[in-house]
Amino acid sequence: MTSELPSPMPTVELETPTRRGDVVAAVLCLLVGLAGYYLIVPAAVYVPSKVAGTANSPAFLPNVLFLLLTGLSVIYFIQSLSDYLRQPAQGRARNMDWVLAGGTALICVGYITAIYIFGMTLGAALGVTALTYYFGERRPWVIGTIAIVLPILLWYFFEKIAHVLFPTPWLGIMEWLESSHHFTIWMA
Amino acid sequence: MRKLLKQELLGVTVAAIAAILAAPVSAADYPDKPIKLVVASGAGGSTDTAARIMAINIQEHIGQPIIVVNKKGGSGGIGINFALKAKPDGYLLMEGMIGGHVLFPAMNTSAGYTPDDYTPIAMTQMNPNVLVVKADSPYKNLKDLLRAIKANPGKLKFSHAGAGSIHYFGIHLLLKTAGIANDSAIAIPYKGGSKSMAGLLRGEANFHQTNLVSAIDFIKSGKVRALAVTTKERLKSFPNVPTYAELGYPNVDIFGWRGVIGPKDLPKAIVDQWAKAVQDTMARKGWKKMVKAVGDMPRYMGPEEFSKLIASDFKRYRQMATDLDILVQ
Amino acid sequence: MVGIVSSFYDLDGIEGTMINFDVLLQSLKLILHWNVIASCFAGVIWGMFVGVTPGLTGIMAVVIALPLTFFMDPQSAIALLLGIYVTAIYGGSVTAIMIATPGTPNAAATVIDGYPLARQGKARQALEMALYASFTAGILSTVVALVIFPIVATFALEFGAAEVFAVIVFAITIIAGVSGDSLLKGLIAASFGFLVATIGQDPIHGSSRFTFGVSDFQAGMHILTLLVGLFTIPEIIVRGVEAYKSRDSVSVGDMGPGISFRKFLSFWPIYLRSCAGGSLLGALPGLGGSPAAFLGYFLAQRFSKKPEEFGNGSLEGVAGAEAGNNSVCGPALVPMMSLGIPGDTTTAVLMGALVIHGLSPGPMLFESSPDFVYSVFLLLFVALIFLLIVGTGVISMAKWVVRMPTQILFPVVLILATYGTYAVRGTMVDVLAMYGVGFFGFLMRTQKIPAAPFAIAFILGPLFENELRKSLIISSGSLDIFVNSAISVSFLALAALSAGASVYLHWRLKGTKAAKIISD
Repeated sequence: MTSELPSPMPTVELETPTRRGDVVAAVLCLLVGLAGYYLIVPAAVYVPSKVAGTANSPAFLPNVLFLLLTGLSVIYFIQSLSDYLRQPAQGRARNMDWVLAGGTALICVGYITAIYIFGMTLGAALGVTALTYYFGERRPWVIGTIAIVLPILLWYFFEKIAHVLFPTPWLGIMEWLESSHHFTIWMA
Repeated sequence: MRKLLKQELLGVTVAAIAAILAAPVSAADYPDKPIKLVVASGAGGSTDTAARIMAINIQEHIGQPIIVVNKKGGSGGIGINFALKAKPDGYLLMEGMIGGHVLFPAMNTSAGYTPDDYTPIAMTQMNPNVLVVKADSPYKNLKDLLRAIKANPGKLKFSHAGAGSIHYFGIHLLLKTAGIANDSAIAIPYKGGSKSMAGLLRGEANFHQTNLVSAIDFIKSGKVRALAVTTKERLKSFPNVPTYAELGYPNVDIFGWRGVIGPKDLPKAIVDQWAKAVQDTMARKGWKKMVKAVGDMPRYMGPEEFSKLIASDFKRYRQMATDLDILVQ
Repeated sequence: MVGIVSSFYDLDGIEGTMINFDVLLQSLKLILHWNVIASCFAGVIWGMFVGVTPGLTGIMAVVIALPLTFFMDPQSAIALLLGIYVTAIYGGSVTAIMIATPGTPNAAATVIDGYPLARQGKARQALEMALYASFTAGILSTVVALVIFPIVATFALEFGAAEVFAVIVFAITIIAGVSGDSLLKGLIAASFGFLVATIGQDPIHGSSRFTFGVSDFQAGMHILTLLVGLFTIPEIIVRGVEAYKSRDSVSVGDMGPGISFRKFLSFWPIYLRSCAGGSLLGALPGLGGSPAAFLGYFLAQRFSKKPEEFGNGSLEGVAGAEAGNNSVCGPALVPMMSLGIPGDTTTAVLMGALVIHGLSPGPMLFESSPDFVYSVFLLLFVALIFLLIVGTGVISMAKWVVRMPTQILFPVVLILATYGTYAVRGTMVDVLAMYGVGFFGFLMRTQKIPAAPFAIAFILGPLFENELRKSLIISSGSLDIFVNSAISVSFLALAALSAGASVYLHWRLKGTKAAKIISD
C-alpha cells in the first residue's frame, strides 16, 4: 500500500470545492440556462414552420433542458449562497494553483495553434517539449528523445498505416518533405 | 458461389500486388504516387464497401495503389467538404454517393457545396428502390395502398431512414405524383435503412420504400411484399413485381447510385483517364461479382451523362425539399 | 413468449429453441483450421496493441484490418475481426484504468473507478478484475446468444420505439448513482451533457441545432471527443499542477498485488447481473456497449454493501462496468446477422466483411448457412480465450506506465489524446471541441461537479429524444403508447423505483455524513 509511504505528492487544492466557488458556479450555470432559453435556442435552432411550438419541434427539448438547468441553478444558487453567508471565510490560498493550471491551458492553446501553423507532427514535437519542461522535466536528452521519437512514430502510424489525412498547415514542412518524389518511393 | 468469389478475390490480390510492384516503373506523369479516395461515410457501410471494391480492382488500370480514407459525419457533408478543399491534381478523389453529394446539399443550403462545386467522373453502380408492405398487410397492390392513403389522410405511416434520405424523398415523390397531399401519410424516421425495415416488420409503419439490396432478403423470405420497383423494366430476380412506369407513375424513377467524383476544376485529361479506367475495371468479372454481392447493379455512366444525372437529381430533390418545408437554411 | 415472438419472425431452419448439435458439429469443423485460429489470434494481438495505445481507437483497428479480410476465406476474415472486436473493448479499459483515457466509448464507466484504483497503487487489481470480468461475462453472454439465438433474434422486433424509450428512461436513472456527494450537482452536470448531445442535426427533421453555420458541427460531438475531454484533460491539468509544485520526479510507482481467485469468485452476482443487463441491451439493435457498461456499473452499485466506495476506487464498480460492456459482444451479433442491423461501428465493419464474402446478413442467413452462424459464436469463445492469455501478458507490461514519472507520462498522454481525437473523424473541429470540453471539465472538477452524469446524459440523451419523438409520431401524439405495452410499463415502473431508491440513498448517505461531521 502506498499510504504507508510518506506521500511525495503535494495536494492540489483546486480539487477541493470552496463555498465561494459554488456561488460563482451557480451564477454561471444560471446565466447559461437563461441565455440558452432566451438567446441561443431562438438564434441557433432551425425550426420548420410546420412543427413550430409542438413537442416535435427541434427546439422543444433544448428549451426544456435550458429551463431545467435554470431551475436547478436557482436551487444551487440559494443553497450555495446560504452556505456562504453562514460561513464566508475559508482562508485558502488557491491562487497559485489557478495560475499553474492556467499555464497548462495556455500551453494547450499554443499546441493547437502550432498544429495549425506547422502541422500535426511538428506541432506535437513543440507541444510535448513545452509541456514536459513546464511539468518539471529538465534533462535535455529526455525531452529531446520524446520530442523526436513520439511525433515520428505517430506520423508513421497515422499517415502510413491508418491512412488518416492530417490537416494541411500554413507552413507545411513535413508535407513539403513528403511531396518530394524520392521520399515517396522510399516510403512505399 | 462462395468458392468462386474466393478465387476472384485471390485473382484481385495478385493483380493488386502486381500493380503496386509495377507502379514505379511506369513513366506516365499521372499518377506517380498513391491516390486517396475519400469515403464520406463510416467504415463497413455499403458506400465504404463499394469504394474498397473499386479501390482494389481499379489500381491495375490506374497504375497506382488507391488508399481509401473514411471521413464520416454530417450526412456525408464533413468528408465531402474536406475533399473539395483538396488541390484538383487527381490525387484526392471521392466515392460519390447520392446521399452526401446530392440529397444533403439539396435539403441544406448551408451544406457548403452544390453539384457545381465538384466534378463527376463516372457512375459505377446503381440501386433501384422498391416499395414494400408487410406480408400480412391488407394492401395487395399499389392501387390499394394509394386508395387507402387518400381515404384516411393522416392515418397511414411509412418508415424511412431520416429526413433527407432517399427513403423519405421516394415516398413523397410517389405521393406528389399520385396527387396526394404530403401530410396524408405520416413519416417515421429511423436511424438507417435496416432499422426502418425493422420498424415496418414490427408494425410501427404500414409501408416503406427502400433500396433493393436492403429489401431483397425480406422479400425472398416472404416477410414483406413488394408492390413496385423504380426501374424501367421489371427485375429479373422478381418478375412479378411491377414497375412504377407500368402502373402509370413513370416519374417515380429514383434510384441510388455510387461513382467516382473529383474536386472542382479537375483537369479533363485526368477525368478521362479515370473514366476509362473505371470502364475497364467494370469489365472485370471479379468486380461485377463483388458489386452484386453487395447488392448493387453495375451500371456505367461517363462524365457528361453522370453530370447531367446529378444536376437533374439535385434540381428535383431541392424542389421537393422546398415543397416539403424541410429545406434547411 | 416464444410463441408470440415467432409470429413476428419465424426462423424456419430451427425447431424450438434448442441448439442443433449436428450443425454445431459442422461449424466446429469450419473453424478448426490453423488459418482460422491464427487469424483470430492475430486479431486479438492487433486489437490489444491498438486498444492499449491511447489515441488509437478500436474503430481504427478494424478499419485497418478490413482490406486484408477481402482476401481471406470467410471464416478467417470473421475470426480476425472478431478477435479485434472482443479485444478492443478490453484494451480500451486498460488505458481508462492506467491514464484516465477511455480507449473506446465502452470504457467510459470503467474510468470512474478504475483510474482512482490505479492512482491508489492498485492498478494490478483493477486490470485483473477488468480482464476476468470481461472474460466471464463474454463467455456467459455468448452462451446465452448461442442457446437462445431464435428468441434473441426476435427480441429485437419485440422492442418498438416505446419499449426502447422505457429502457432508456430506466437507464437514465443511473445518473443518480454516479452523482457522488451531491445529487443536485449531478443533475446539473447531466443537463449540460444532454444539451451538448443536442448539437448537430435534429434526429427527426434533419435541421441543424447549435451548429452556427459550421458544417463540421452537423455531425454533433463524437462520444470519444467528449470522453477524452471530460476525463483526460482535467486529469492532465491537475497532475501538471501537482508535478510543478513537487519539483521532483514522481510516479505512482507500484502496481500493487493482484486479486485472488476467491475474491474473483465472490463477485459472481455482479457478473450475472451485468450479464443479464448487458445481454438485454446488446440484443436491442443499435445501442452499443457504453449504455451496457453504465447499466452494469449501476447494478453493481445498487446491490453493493459499500455503495459509497463507488467513484473513489471500487473494485465492484470495475467488475460491473467491464462485465456489462463485454456481455454485449455475443448478443449484439444476433440482430446484426438476423436483421442486418449493426450495433456499433465494429459490428458494422463485421457486417461489411460478411457481405463481401457473399454472406449477406438478414433473415436468409440462418437458413442458407446455419453452420456459419454457429461458427461465428464458436469463434467468439476462441477469441475470448486468446483475450485472457494476451491480456495477462499486457497487465504485466502495464508496470512501465505506473513507473513513468508524471512530468513525462501526462504530456505524452496529451499528445496521444489529441491525435486520437483527430483521427476519429479527421477534423480539427473535434480537437478544438475536445479541449473546450476539457477546460470546462476542469472547471467542473474544481467544484466537484461530477463528470460521469455528464457522460451518461450525453450517451443516452440522443436515444431518449429520438425514441420519445418517434413513439409520439407513431401514436399520433397520444401518450397511451407507453402504457399499452407490458414491456414498456415494466421498465417505466423499474425506472420510477430506481429513481426513488436513488433519492433515498442520497438522503441517507447525506444523513450519515452530516452526522459524522457533527460528531467530529
